[in-house]
Amino acid sequence: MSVKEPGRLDSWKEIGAYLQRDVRTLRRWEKEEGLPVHRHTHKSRSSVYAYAAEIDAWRVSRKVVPEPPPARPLWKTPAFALTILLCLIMVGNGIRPQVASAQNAGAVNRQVWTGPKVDPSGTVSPDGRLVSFTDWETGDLSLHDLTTGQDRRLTNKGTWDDSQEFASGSAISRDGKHVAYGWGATVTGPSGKQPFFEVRLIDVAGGKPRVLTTQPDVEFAYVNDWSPDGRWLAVHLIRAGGTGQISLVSVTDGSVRVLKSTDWRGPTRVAFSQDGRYLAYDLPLNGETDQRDIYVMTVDGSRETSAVSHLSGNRLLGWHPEGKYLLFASDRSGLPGVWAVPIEDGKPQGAPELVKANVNPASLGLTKSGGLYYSVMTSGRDIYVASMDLEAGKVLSPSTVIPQPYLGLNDSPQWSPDGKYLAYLAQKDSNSTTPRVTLAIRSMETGRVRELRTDLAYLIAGDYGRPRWSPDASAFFVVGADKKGRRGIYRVDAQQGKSTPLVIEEPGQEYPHLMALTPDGKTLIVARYDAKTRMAALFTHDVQSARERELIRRSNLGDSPVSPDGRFLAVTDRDRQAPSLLVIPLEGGEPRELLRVSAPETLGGFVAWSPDGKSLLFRKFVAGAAQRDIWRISVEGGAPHDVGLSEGIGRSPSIHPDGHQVAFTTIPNPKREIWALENFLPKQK
Amino acid sequence: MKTLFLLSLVLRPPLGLDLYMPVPEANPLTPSKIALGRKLFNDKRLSFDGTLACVSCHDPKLAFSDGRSVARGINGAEGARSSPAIVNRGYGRTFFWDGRAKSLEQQALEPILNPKELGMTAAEAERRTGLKIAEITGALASYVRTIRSGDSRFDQYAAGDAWALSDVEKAGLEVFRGKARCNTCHAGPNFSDENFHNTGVAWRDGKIVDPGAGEGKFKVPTLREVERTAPYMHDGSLATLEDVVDYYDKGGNANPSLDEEIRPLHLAADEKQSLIAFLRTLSGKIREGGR
Repeated sequence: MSVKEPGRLDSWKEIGAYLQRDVRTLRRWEKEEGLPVHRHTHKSRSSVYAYAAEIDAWRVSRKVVPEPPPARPLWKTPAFALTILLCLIMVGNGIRPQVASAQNAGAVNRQVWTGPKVDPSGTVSPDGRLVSFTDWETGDLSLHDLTTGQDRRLTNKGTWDDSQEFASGSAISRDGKHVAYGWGATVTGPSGKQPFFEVRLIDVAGGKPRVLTTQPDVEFAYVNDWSPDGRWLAVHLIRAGGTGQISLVSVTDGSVRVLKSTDWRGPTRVAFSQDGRYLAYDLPLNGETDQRDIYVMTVDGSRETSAVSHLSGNRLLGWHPEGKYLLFASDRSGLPGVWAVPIEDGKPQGAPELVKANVNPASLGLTKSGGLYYSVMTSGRDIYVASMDLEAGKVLSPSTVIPQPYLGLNDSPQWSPDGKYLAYLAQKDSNSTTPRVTLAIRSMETGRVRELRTDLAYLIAGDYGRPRWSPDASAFFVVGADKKGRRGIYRVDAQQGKSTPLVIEEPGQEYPHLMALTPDGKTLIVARYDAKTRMAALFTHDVQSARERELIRRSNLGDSPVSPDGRFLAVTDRDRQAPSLLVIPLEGGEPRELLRVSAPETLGGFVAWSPDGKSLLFRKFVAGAAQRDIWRISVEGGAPHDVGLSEGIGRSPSIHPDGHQVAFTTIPNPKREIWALENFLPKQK
Repeated sequence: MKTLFLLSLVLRPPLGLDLYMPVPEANPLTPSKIALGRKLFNDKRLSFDGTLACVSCHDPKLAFSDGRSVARGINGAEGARSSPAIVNRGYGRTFFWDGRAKSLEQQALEPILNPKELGMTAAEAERRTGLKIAEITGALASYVRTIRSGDSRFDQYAAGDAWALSDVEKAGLEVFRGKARCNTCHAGPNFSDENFHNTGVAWRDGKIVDPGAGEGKFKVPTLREVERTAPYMHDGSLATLEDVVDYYDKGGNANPSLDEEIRPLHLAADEKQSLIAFLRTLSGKIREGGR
């Protein structure tokens, strides 16, 4: 089922053999020149591993861009002291310092913002003092002051309960006085959900926003940039039908000029040139690939030129303020990095050059002085496995992380029916707006991981998108979207990754959630949220005939696993006043209530069958309490029994068929940081 | 400067279409070339017997289609496929039902030389017009790029006028994007993904009677002006929009190469009616030649 991960070197010995150097040299290179070596940090004695491709790319950048020899002993220079200080800061934040890859030895890369509210959807102000962002606590447009560290909300819509509206994709004007942003929501009308989006303008001091345009047929509007004269906004619209549009919105009268229509993925960034004559953007090559090229178009739409074309991932970062370079992120060397291509009259003038290796930025734009502000993800989400005695409520061995060769988002673990494999969703390129999520299949015997790239555009992780194994392990049932952007439940062949649509979203409704699969693989348990009634409903969906039957309809439903014999469904009804635990016969019949609790007690979303099918495991706790024990209750009824394990099982748990291992994820939200890269272009240019 | 100003007027697209239209560097748009192309488009000297011109099969009154099932050339010769409506072809990537032409310039030449269409030789066309054949095709392609349909009621709705569509038409838009999934192929501002699909139309008597782009696949036509471009499909085999909706509702003609997107829709009668009502909102204003 799996093969050894190609190109992975699993020890200092293997890395040394690959580079034909001893361990001492490797350690020195790692310390001084950024040799890309990874560590299993979960182990008490850390072990290392590396990738041949990364090492090759490191070697190339090291040869092409040698560090200039020091004019005098390094320890006597203030710059050296600063570098050491920055390295310490970076190491402290989990970032390996970058040394050898920047072409300009005077380049400075510094962290400017970290914390739970970091959001990469805005831009930096021209003076580098402010960053616009969406505060997802409420959905308000906000500003973060990089000098004081203070956040300030520009809009005040109230809580999510007050309003479902939110800001998206904002940009600070080039005079630093205004912020333009998308503002939208989904309104529920008689015919279901109807999206609308506005492009708005507000002073950086706050006040009443000005609506530039209201678009009833638009699902998202991302303001990317202001024209240098302040008269136009570069906006990426996504129409309700799935068409992306690179557009200009007039600041004067709100009129919209659609320059170019694209598929639903659209550009990750659109930026005006310094003279205002051109727009640069990146777009996928075609419907079959996620690889992007970068283009430059005249603002009157009369000409489009390919600025960067390469069989690699290329994402626009922005124009350098001098107007001579277009900056983009690319993995063309095998490693991600920042590249610059000289541009004149909207056309490329030579080959791109690597200006900063080993960084995978998502751009927040550039300051007047040429500083590139960007976001990176600095902590991912990992899969853990713990051994425990669920009967006795004892953890038999501490949880261990499933080691990953990259920093990314790993989610939704699911054991194979025979318990020999663990499948989970893995997203590597965390900065991409069109994340590529693969299905990772790990052999628990050998530790080898096979990545299954599906033909879907993306897979949806989380509790409603856990991959489900078919009984014979020949296929997975997943939630995702095809290359036309249609979300739904698909069956994916476990060898080739070819998908077959099973349940596709209906307009005006949420996409269908995959809650469970019967042991015979013939019936899906599908959850749908009805926007009109604001109720969640569970259905059986026959895979062969597509016939559906409603099982239950409630305001809030949690996990819904099928019993090992395939006869019953367990459901947590998370009613706010009186949550309950139910068992529903799949052959038909009324739900049977096993347990009902009342405030201040409540039930968590988690519920699972014991491997023998005789009892249910679930979370019961006092609302707001940190301790959230696992409880067990017999399906025959009776009082529940506190198993404990409050700390032992994390998010999205999957219980091994033997009942003694649990796989789960822990970190609900990855950590992002904003960094500033300054003085990075070659000086001679 | 004056030329650029005139060109910007000529090229300003109607509401709903992109400002950017790909134009080959070797054949830039100019007002004079567009005017020449328009003249040639209506010039019967480009047919062997002087009876037909491009406009004979691409009638502006019928949204630049001809109302026939299959195209009719000189001497009454019938082709195998219908004349497509050539609105918004400047946004196209490939041309003809089977996509064999990679540019409008290449496309413009074939009907002139086809014995079943205009039946000319390049030399004769040059002799009659006093123009090089590349000038003829370049001018015709330039003119065709100016034939644009937009500013329909749907475009007005999409641009922010929520009242531009009736409730029935809005319901039809939902069917279009939802249950019927028409926008899987009829996507984007021109309502075509410019790709090729086997919808089963070419499958008759147990075989594919016209391979098209291969295995019975044909290019997705625009739905702009669809109300005016009957009969439908590449062979004109369906007379009305009702016929087309019924055809897709039953899942097309089953055949080994049928596109996996084509499957029975189970539309209710009111859903079919609203869908057709929506399709009729795609009739708008056609601009051509800078007019």
